[in-house]
Amino acid sequence: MLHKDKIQRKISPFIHSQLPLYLDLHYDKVADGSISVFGRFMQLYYEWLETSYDATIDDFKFQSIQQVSDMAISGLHSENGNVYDRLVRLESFRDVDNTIYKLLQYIKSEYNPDLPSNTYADDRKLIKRIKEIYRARGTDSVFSIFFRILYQKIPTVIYPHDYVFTASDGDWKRQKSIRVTTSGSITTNDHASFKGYYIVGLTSGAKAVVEDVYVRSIGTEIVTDLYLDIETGITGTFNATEVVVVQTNEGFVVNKTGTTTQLQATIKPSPQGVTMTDTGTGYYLNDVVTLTNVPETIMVIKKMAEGRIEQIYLNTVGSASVGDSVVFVNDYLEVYAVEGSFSQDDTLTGSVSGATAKLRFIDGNRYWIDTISGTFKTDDTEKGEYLAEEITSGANNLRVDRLITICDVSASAVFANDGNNYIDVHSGGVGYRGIPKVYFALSNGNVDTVAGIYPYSSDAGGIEEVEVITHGLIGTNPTVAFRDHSGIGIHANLTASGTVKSGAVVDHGGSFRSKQGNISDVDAQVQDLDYYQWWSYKVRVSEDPNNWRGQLNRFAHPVGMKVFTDFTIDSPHQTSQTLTSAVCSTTIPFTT
Amino acid sequence: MGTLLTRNYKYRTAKQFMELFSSNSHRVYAVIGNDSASQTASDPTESLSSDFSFWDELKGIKRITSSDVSMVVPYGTGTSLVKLEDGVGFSEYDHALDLFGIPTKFLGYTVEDDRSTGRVRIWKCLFNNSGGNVAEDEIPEPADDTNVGIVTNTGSGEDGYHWKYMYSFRQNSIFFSEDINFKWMPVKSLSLKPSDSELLKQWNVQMAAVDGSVDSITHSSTFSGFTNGSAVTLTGGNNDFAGTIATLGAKQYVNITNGGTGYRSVSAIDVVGATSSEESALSAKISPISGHGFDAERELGAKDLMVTSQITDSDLDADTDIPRYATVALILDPIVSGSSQDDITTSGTSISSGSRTSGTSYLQAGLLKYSGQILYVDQRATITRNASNTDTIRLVIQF
Repeated sequence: MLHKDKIQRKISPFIHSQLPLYLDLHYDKVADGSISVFGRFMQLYYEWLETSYDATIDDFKFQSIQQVSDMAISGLHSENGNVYDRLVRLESFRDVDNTIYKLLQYIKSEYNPDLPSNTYADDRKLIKRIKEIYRARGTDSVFSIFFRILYQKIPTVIYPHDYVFTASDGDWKRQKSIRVTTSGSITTNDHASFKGYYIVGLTSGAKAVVEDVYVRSIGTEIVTDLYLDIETGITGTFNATEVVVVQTNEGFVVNKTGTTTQLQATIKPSPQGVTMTDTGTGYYLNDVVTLTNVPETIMVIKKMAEGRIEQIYLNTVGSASVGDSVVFVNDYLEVYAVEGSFSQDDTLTGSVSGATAKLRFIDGNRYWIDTISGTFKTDDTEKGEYLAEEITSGANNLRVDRLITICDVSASAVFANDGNNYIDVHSGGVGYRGIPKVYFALSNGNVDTVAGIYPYSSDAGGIEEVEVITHGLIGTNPTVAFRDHSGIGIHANLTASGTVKSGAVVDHGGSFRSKQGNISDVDAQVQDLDYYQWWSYKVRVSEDPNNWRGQLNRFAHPVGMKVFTDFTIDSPHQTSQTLTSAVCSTTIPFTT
Repeated sequence: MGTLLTRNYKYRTAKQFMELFSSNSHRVYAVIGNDSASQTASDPTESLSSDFSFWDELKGIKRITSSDVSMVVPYGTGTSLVKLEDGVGFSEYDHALDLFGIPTKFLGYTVEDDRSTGRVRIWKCLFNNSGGNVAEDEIPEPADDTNVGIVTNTGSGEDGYHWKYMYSFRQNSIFFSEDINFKWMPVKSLSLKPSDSELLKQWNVQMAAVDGSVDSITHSSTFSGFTNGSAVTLTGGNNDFAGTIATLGAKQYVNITNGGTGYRSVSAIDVVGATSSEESALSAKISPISGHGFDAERELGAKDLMVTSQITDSDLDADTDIPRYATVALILDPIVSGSSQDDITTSGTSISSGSRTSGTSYLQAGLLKYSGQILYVDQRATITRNASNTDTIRLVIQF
């Protein structure tokens, strides 16, 4: 029998029938003559015993509004009653769903002693779930529940071990895909069905498992990237334009759902790099590679040929005298975020490092420098984007991606005359990966801009390898061109040439999913056995830790871990009203 | 006459204020002060004397740099920028909507399982399959740095949504606030090519954005009744849009093979074989200027700025220097102790400025009292510091 039914059982309606008959026959009766006065007295006494009192606001004075906010009036139990009512309800007081609030606190203190009485949670529901919550102690979910119950706030839990350097713990993931388009009656919409199956080249017989499928647009074409499962491997070599069909592991045909048409697609050729016809000379890393009819593709020069400086062509002597040394500038900065206008012979100063250098030549975003003192903080040295210091010269400033040195040992040369003026190259240097800048120095150390001298090498700065940074598509008659940097007279640097290579498989390279194995990563931290260790965590929440640290330790903190706290002091601040009125007051005179 | 402070004004004002933090000529510091043991929260007042009393109570400051500041947008409130979950419906991108006006639900986000290092990704709904809901298995994911296009869930049995990937950030970003009454997420448009593989995805989205393209065609009711495979053309722009009617289950959509360029308005949508009545139910949605995904900040309607400062024991010692505080503030360009206030000497021809602070943190003794400009004051109940605790100040300035 339900508690509710038990509570509704009454004795008072049966009093009259249980009394001896003589009470009605021989004693005074009530006014309507239905029952004796004594009998009526007994009825009223039992009705009083059965009386329960409707719940009042006062009964809930120790509960928070949040705890009872979703409670229906019709669902309220009476919190008080007389003797019989209480006796009938006695059994229900053991039931967390039916007990009165005065007793609920005792049940709560037995099952859930670690939380204060006044929380945002419905106590009855919380007690029923407390076992599951305790079993999940130490998890993100319990931290979240803890702060929702107490403060209606969601914490952020940070695990310092995510940043602790661990040798050989990088999770390297390499991705390769085949780019396809429609074939026969199989449309782009059907390509999602390729996932999990083998694709097999009809011409080549090459095969691989499709791991994932993404549809994208390149230029004017809609294509589908079929990402291949590297672990299963790619057997054979797919042809750049062949049709691939879908098969199961056992070689059975996979058809389009509800049809007898085998799933298939046509490979779209992708740029794979450049076959060099002539490597040229005088190029630099990341130099311009111009592609035509190769949409949404970016290539950069990745590897340079090394060589030595063989000659220096003298065009104009300027102020130089016989015996003057030629100054070689072998370092350049790859700059970005240039503000203002820099000039030759400016002194560059790092705003943080204090490093200095003389700016000798500006060649696009290559700023050639010498007389370097100290070490500039660049994106390269700081291991991150936009982390470079500001480098200034007067009111001008810039930032540097990286500093590049183009040789291992510098060349040397002097101005000579054997009847004719010429540059005598004493040493061609070692390992030149580009053509350096050279100049004669004036007495004040500045570049003699009148003099014209041009170094030459038949091999330094040749293009050995071009890397595809962004893979697009091969269009009709694709071409590649390199910077035309014709020099002076017979010693001109040679312009490179080549053809675009095409293929079926796009190699997206690899990346670490986890950087914990990279000691040079900006996030990598060495264990300090305190904050940075495997057994610590930090809870970030906008509530004073002094209020909750003890309760967290009892309720949610797992043994053996160390907890750190991060108190976020959050405050939104509106400025719009002030701004609006200020503008109105200034615009009105002009508009009326 | 009606006047309007445009969203560009608010956006630009916020960006301008943001530049204070990366400037070499200005420095902004977070302030903690007032070490009264039992201070209660109160509303600050502003006067010259309050500036003096503020300085008398100042205990320490910590510099806020550009990495401590980010444009942010509210999320998860009302119908704006909600989580992509099974059964949730999103409205479609519409160029006629005001991002700063009625919140719309064409923006959504996904969250990776790993709460510590996982990423939150932001998506723009271009097509919702005529009022359909998101299916659990169809929540989009960007593949790699080449995933710059539009994710179309148009395979057999899929939910029919078309999503445009915008950008992502780490879940444990200090700018990502999940408190019920303080829900903000960071947004940043890239201006330089990054090396980080996740940021590179956003860069590629920005790079692939097409100005004046039409990337979605919506229907005023249930998209159906057209002949499958019929060509769709638009009048306007450079007239280079191309698409065909496609069918997914009982509904249809336009499979766009070329979004075209130069579209600022579309005067007519033509579907081969359709009546003018059927065509009038279709609507071409024009991409934002520079294209979808080119400028995440403006496409999300960012106009608010979150300024943060994390103060630890190593910055300002909790045991001896500042055991408690009740005032949080921002101050601009304070002067170091030993220097002097800005002044014009009797023989001077310009203002002689005192030496500004440039270090990371200072106690009051290291500063010239009453120097600098107070930008913001928050008087809170007393906060007791703890050596193992980080105090993170997060202030959202809503422009």
